[in-house]
Amino acid sequence: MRLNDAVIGGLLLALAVAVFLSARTLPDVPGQRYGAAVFPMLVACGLGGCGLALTLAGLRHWEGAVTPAPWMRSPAAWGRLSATLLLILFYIAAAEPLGFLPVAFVVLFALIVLLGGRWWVAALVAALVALVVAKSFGSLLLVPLPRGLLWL
Amino acid sequence: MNAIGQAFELVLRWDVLSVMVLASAFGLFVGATPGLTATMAIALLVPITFFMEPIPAIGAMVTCSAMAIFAGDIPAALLRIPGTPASAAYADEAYAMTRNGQAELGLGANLFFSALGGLFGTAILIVAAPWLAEAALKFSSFEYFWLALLGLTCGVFIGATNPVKGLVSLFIGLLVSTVGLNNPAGVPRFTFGDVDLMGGIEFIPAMIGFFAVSEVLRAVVADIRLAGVPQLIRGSLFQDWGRLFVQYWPQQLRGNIVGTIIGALPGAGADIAAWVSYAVSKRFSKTPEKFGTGHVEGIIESTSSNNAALGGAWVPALVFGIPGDSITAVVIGVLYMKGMNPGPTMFLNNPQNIYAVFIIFILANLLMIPFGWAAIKGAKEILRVPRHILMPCILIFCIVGAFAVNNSVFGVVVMLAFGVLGFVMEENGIPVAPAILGIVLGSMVEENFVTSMIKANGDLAAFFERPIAAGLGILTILVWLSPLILFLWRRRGSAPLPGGSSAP
Repeated sequence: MRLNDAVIGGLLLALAVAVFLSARTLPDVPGQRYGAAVFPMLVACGLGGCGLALTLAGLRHWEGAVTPAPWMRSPAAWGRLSATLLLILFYIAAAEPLGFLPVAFVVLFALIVLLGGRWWVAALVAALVALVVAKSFGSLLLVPLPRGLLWL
Repeated sequence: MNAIGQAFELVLRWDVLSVMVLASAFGLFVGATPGLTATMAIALLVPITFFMEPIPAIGAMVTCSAMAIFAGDIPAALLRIPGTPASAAYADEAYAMTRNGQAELGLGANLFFSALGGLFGTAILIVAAPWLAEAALKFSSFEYFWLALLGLTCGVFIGATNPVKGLVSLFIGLLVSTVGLNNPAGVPRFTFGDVDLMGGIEFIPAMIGFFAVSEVLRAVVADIRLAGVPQLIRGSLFQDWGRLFVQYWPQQLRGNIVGTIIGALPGAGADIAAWVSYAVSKRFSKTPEKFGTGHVEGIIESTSSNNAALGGAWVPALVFGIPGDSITAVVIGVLYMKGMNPGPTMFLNNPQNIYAVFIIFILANLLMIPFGWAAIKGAKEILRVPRHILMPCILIFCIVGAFAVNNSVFGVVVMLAFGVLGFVMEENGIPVAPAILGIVLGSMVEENFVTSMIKANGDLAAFFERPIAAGLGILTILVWLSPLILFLWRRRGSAPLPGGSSAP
């Protein structure tokens, strides 16, 4: 997607103002004039300056707020994108209660099928990869992956 | 026992060497797979290096990046799809050679001159780093402030098509670095009362999001299948090396030098080095008309250059803790976590570690010859791995890697957020590399700035009182003004000049 520069600039400007105002309330180092506030305020000024420059540049070449990239015209691409993001969110929400193995299997299986793999290939690869990752990270590198309902 | 001997003992151990061999295979695979970049290889490797001793961790990262940058040439030559952005500059040329039936000559040149370029960059690293470190010992917060600022500035201006968008990326990175308790006053800053955010935004999940998850998202929407199956490479890769070296040694040397310098400049890495060297090669060639038709000259110069850049990038990284490219940005983050803080004192206190890095570099570039040969011979198999299986696996590695840093799901949340942010930024022409520089260097800039301001009692002139600080400060400001100067220069150049003299 190509947002017009003016749209990005406006968003950045708003962010910069918010950062500046909230940074102003941060305390200084006791007994000094400079502390936690000065650096974020400087960054906010820079960000605001860039936002302003982009806004001006964007307004000069205004061709609508959004110029869609080729993939954006394909509903299937949107579907794949949102499904991928939902699968990551599903991992975040479900890994703890259900455990790494089943959740990783679901994420892998769904994504492979979504990208055009055959279901039995997807099932095989998903099971294998989930097991290998769980074994190598969980048992060799001692990462406490969530065990949940099902573990080796 | 001297430091060099100790360094050999640190490196020549079976665990370090086997890690380097595995990292080579991994780097070659990732580099040779279109859509997976060298930086992504490093991003995926970091969670694993997390569990290693410092020296094997460095060995893995150096070897992996060197192999990945070389391996990017393989699909460039066989399919006209660069495996990493660093090979994009000469993908057309290399593919033209393959179509002329010269795939062996082209890939052989890529392999040989990549290794030579890498060794040249290493030689410069060995000579320049200790020498600079001695000077750096005298630096105070003023010099470090300017150095960090110069690093960020170069990151924005070099190779950026739109400097304003580079700056936006940088400021976003700096803003991210201000989150948490780690600030001069030690107060919670931009944490929104969230306990997880008080520790700051972890660098590794952010980087995995930026460089790996955003890449997965791009692959998901693009739905590209590989175009065509590459042919098998049958002939000898080595037979032309002697002739090419004798015929093209000036180009090779020039590529090495340009690559090392661009690599050492903060923020610009192998990608830009290859583009610049290809352009330089064409500009000074005796036969510029042959470029683009499958001529090996430009390939030699730019393939030397992108591997030389890797060594060059480690010079500012080791000496000042300022990354020369996005790979060393990641490496610096890892070094800090390992308690091996980069900086001049490392050269004084732990010289054996520095020498160990040098030895690893030399070994990695020597290993490139046999491993690269195997990768070229096996290219057909590597390029046949289907992307609809690869991308989901990478996503699971990303998730586990982001989780493993703190063993908390919060890492996965950060990874997802930065993956989406990086995807949206790149879709809108905002590069992500400056943001990573900002996240890595943010606390260094802030700390040295606030310390300097307190020391100088708010007097900005103090930033220019010490001679080196003044020099660095003026240099930084010159780079800031360079777009303006260039603009004025072009206007002067395009205007008709009196007296018949003309600007170059």
